[in-house]
Amino acid sequence: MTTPQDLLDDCRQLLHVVHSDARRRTIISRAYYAAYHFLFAHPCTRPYVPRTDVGMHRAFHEFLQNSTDRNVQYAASILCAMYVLRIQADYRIQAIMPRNVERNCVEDAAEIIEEIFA
Amino acid sequence: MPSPAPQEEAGSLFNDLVRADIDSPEVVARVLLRARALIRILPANFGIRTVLANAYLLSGERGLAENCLDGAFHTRSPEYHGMMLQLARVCLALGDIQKARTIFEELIKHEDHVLSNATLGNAARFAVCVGDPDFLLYINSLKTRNGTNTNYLKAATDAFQREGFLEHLHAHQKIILDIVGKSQLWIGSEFFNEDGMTAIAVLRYISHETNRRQLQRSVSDALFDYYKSRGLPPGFSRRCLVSMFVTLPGQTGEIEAA
Repeated sequence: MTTPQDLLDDCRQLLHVVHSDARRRTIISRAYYAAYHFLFAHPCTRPYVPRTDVGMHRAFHEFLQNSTDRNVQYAASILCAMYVLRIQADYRIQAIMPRNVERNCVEDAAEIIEEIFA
Repeated sequence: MPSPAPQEEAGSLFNDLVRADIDSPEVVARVLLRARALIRILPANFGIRTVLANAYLLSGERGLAENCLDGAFHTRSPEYHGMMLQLARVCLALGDIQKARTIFEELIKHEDHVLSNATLGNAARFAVCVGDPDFLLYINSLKTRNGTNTNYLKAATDAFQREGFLEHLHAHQKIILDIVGKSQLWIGSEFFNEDGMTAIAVLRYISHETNRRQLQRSVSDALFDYYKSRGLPPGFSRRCLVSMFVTLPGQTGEIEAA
């Protein structure tokens, strides 16, 4: 079994090996999923009922936008930003992926997993 | 009378800088070095002043860029379309909204019947980034000489109106700009259209000296209060506009210390 923390730890290791545009994209995508799976499973996002009328990510993001918990809103704002970057990382491979973004994504995923809800 | 060589070099440096944009600190460093030498030879040259201000910003030297801005602005000429657009981006990054708007208005007036989609797209992006819905609607109403306006933000503007976000655009961006303040070094934006969601993602590049996480927390809390006070879901704006705060490349990230 793989946990969100495992994904985050993997991101951190990837940050320390040779960097390329492809590697940056891998890190961004994995950091997003680390944060996504963590929030998806966390009690702070109960009771979430999955929808079928839109994609799973959009459905979850829309659910989060109604939360009146400041921490959940903060985490959701980070998750949403990471999602945009993850789409760019995985699907728009001809677009420039600015350097440092991957580091910021790992920081943000770490903040969600290890700090905000710790 | 200056020789043409430095002027030609200014044009070449400008092209290098635009191509490098945010992702090549090495190129920015080289351009900055040459632009500092050229400004001594051609101190009143619009192109070199613009390149210098731009290169300072991308090097994280916001104060030095601010010092160059007035000189670049006062020597501007709408004949130099590309440099004018880039100077507008510098003004936008520095938060000098009035100067940026003046540049776009001059370009639109100058281009008249040959108005280009490059001008329209940049002007619309400016309007979104500073939160100016009237200017955004005005830009979207203009047409190029072919009778088109393929400015990609038109679809996003439609989404803003459909979702009821357009009336909050100004307040939303003002909240962010007030918090980001002088930490901001550059702005980029992406049009996002996935899974039936049409949004704009604004990337705000900040100095590594800024506590990025603290800044994005402050923004999140301030927007939470704003939308909640208007009886809207606290995350209401994210259907239309996503803001990201990114450390400028070439500077030290916080992660190394973690």
